[in-house]
Formats: sequence, C-alpha cells, structure tokens
Amino acid sequence: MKSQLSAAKYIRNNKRTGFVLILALGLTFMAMYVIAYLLYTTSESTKPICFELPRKIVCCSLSTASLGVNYDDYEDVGQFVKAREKARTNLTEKLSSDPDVVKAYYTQVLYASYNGVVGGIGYEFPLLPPEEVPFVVKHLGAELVEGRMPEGEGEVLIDERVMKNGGMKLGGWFQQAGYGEVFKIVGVLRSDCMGCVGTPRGGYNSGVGFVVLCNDNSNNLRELLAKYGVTVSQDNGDNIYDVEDYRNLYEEDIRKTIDDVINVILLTVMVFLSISVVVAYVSFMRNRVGEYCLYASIGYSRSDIYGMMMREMLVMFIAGILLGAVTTVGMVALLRGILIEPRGLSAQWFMKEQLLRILGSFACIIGVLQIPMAVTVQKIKTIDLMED
Amino acid sequence: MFEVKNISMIYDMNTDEKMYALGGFDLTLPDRGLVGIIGPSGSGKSTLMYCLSTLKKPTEGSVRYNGREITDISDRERETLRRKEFGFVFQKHYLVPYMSALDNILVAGNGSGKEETEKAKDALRLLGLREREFGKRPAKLSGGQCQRVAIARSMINDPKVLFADEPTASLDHENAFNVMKILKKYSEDRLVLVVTHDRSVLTDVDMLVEMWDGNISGISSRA
Repeated sequence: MKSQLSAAKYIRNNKRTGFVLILALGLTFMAMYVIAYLLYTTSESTKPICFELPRKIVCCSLSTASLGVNYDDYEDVGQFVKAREKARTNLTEKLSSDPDVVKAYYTQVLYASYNGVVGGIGYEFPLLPPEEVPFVVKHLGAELVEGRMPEGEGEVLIDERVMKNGGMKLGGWFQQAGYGEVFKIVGVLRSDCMGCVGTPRGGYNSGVGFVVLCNDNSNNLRELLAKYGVTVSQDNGDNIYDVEDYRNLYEEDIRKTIDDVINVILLTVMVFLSISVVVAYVSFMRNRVGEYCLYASIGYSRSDIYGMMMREMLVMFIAGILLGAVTTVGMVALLRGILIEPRGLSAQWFMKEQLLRILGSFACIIGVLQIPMAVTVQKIKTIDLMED
Repeated sequence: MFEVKNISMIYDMNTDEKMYALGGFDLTLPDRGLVGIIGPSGSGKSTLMYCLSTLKKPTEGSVRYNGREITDISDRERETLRRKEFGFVFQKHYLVPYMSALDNILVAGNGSGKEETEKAKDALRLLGLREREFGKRPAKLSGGQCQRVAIARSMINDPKVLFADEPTASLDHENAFNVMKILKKYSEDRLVLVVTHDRSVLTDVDMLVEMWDGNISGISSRA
C-alpha cells in the first residue's frame, strides 16, 4: 500500500522552520569549505617552492667541521681562514664538475619570504655577479616579464607572486622592512618554481652559502655531498634544504598541520551542529506527536512514519547542501578576488577531499539523528492510548 | 460483520483490584446500518469501539470480522485493515495543524492524483464545507468545521466500517443533526458505528447498544 505521507508537505507548510534549518546547514557547509579553502591556500601556494624550486636550485651552509677544517689543527686564525676558503673553493669546483650538476657557487644569498593566509615559508636565492644572472634565470626556466637584468650591485629579479605577496613593486626595494633600502627590484620573473636571483650589494652580509644549480639527478644534496666526502650533520650546525627537506617540510609542517587544524575545526563544527540539529529535531518531533499518533491510528505503520521523517530530513539536508554549494561558490569567488589573487597566492576551487569530509560529517549528523528519531517512532501511540 | 464473544478488557492487571472496562459479553453487529453505542462516561463504549477497530487488544474473548479472528493478527495485517477497511472519527478531530483541510483528508487516502483529490473535495462538499474553506488550515476553521473535515477524512477510502467516537461532541445541535443525517445516509451500504453519551443524536439508528459499567445493558433494533 502506497504511503501518502509526504515530506514536501511539512516543509512547504512550515517554510520558516524548514528555511532556518536549511539555512543553518547551508551556512555550515559554506563555513567548513571556506575555512578549508583559506587554510589550503598556504599549502597550495607553497607547492612551487617546496616541489619545483629544489628540483632546480638548492642552497646550503656547511660548517667548517663538515668541510674537514678544524680550528684546533691550525696555529693561528689566518691559517684556519685560508684552509676554510680553500676547502670551500675545492668543494665548489668538485660540485661544478659533477656531470649531474649544472653549476655550483659559494656566494651570498638572500632570504625571500612568502606568506599564505595562515603561516608562510621562506627560501634563499643566490646573489651572483651580473654576468651569471641570465644563466641562472634560464636554468630556473624563468621569464623576465617586466624590467631589466641586473647590471650593478644590489639589484634583484623577483618572482611576480613573491612581489604581490610582499606588496613590492618594480623599482622598489626588496623586503624593505627586513633589509632596508639595500636591494633594488629591477626585474620581475615568472616561472613555475618562483625562483629569484640578484647581485650582491658590496659588503652587505645577507648570508653566504653553497648554491647548486641542479637537475633531477642531483637535487638530493646530501647524497651529492656524500659523493665528495662531506657528511651533513645538524650537530655541526649545517643548514641544508634540498628536495627531500622541502618535501618533508611540506608534508609534515605545512600539509599535516593544516589537515590537523581542519580536522579539529570540522570536529568542533560537527559536534555543535549535531547538538543544534538534534535539539531542533527533537523539538519538531515533539510538536508533531499528535500527528504521528493519528497516522498510526489510521493504519500507517511505524516504518511509514519513520520513512516520512527520513524523507523530510533528507530533503532539508539536500536543500542545505545545495544552498551551501551556491553560497560557497560565491564566497570563494569573492575571497579569490579580494584576498587570494591580490596577495599572489593560489588556491584550488574544487577540493574533492574537503567536500567528501563535509558530506561525511553531514552523513554522521544524519546518523546521530537516527537516535531521537528511533526513540520517537518507538514511542508513537495510537489515539486510544492518548485518550486513556 | 462483527461477532464478539465473551469479550473482556481489564485495566491494571497487576493490582489486586482489577478494573473491568469490558466485563465479558457477546455481541453481533450487522454488515450495514447505523449502530449507536450509548452509555455514560466510563461505561466501556469507547473501549469496545477500540477493540472492534483493532486499536486495542481485548484481555480475553474473540472478535471476528467477516468470519476472521482479528484479535491475534499481525501488526501489518492490523494496519492494512485500518487503512483499507476501517475509517475513524475520534473525540478530538486530530487534524494535522500545518495542512489544509483538503490535505488533511488526502493524507489518509490510499490513492493519489486528481481522482483522489476530487473524491476528497466531494466529501468536504457533502459535509457542508465551501470551496474557499478547502485550503484553510485547521486553525482557521471552526470546531464544527474541523470535525466535519475529520469525518470527511474517515470516508476517503470508502471504508466498510466507520468508527465514530463522539463525532458530534464539538458541534451545535443543528450541525450535530446534519452530521448524523450524513452518517445515516453513509450507512446505507456499510456499517457506521457511533459511540456517544448523547441520546438525542441517536434518534435514527438501526441498532442501539446500551452499555453500563462495562456490560451491555440493552440492545434494541429497528425492525
């Protein structure tokens, strides 16, 4: 026998109640997606730095101990400094002559920082003589989209996204808040790896280190250095960031941290939403006890009534998800326009994993709602019992 | 249609002083006609109606409907019987507050579509409601109109038996008289069982069952 208990009737005739629930679900959906969207801009935006850049260029600073030069072995400082310089030059030459290395330098480096909506990352880029710069630009696969190549001291070519991110302009100073008016931006680069390069500014010490222009066979710097008898040790104060380190940094520090934060947010939202929806639903069901008793009395089974309750709930959840999807698209477009693109960040429109998490959370809430629904269905009386 | 044998209904089975709502009697009801069950409050008339309509299960005795014992049938069979063969009018109208008068009738229907809607409208017209009242919710209808909608709801599936518990309780004398006239007409091809304590509405019944303290104190039939 076909049930005439319609889900649409309740929703159509209780527009305010239905709308409030649909709106709450829709806004929750949107909030969960947008929060994840904003957090994931950090991981999405730093992908080129973590994965593309170390495939082409790696920087490191090595202690004298790792270079095999010990202070105690020398009679005075002068001899020690000479030996240290020799060791650095030797290693640079060995690295440069390696068939898998494009070129190696021991040179000044500059630190570029790049911030997401939450958190950020920094990386070193080389400062080299002007005649070396075009070679590095070519190696990075970068294109000079505006400005000119460095010709004098303290001139830098900066990636366009880094410039937007730091609010820098062509002709302005590179990270003025940190370095002051020292490095002038003379050109804008565009590349997949967000690489930068420039020339040193006289005696200004922005840090020095080994810079290796590498390829896929040589971007594991630890392995490469080991070939030449250098064992990298953090205990010695060696500082190295090669392809492995960046991968770990991305997966452990960036992606995992964001995932953990999102999971906590998702769980918190889900708990509060579950409580709110359960309270709202219990109230709906209490108001409709007489109605359910009527249905039971005139011959509808408990499963018919449960089916109607489930259909009503699913209609509201689906409407909430659709409303959430529409408002999410609008909000994401707005954020993209006012926050993501102006800050040189990138983000994914469609996050399948996040969408599945949200839908999973909603499914869990539907699961939780089965408890009050089952209790209500079990408590349904026929009218004779109500009138007793 | 109904054959009742030695029916008894005991409340508070676990206490020393058992309370008999029905005291163990026999009763046979015809296939069609208007049957009134009258008695004072607590005489067991509503309990008898609920036992006949499968809403309550008697403590002892048998109720046979069209030759079939219905006290021990499964829940599903009971539901099917109530939806397909029985119609109900309760003391309170029990209309769904958010539905229109028309939807309140259709929700009890077994069919759907235009034909069912027309049938519901016909039932409302028969009971004296005007077209403009079909779309109104119960809160916008008077008590009498609500009760008439409840009666129309009980008729939507063309039941073989219509159980009406105090159907005129919330109606004025004129409306009560009109409703009874409709039920009388409706009982020409089915059994209509009216439970009431108001003797004045039962002037035109085909059979009158008088109850007192859980037992039948008298049965009279129109020849």
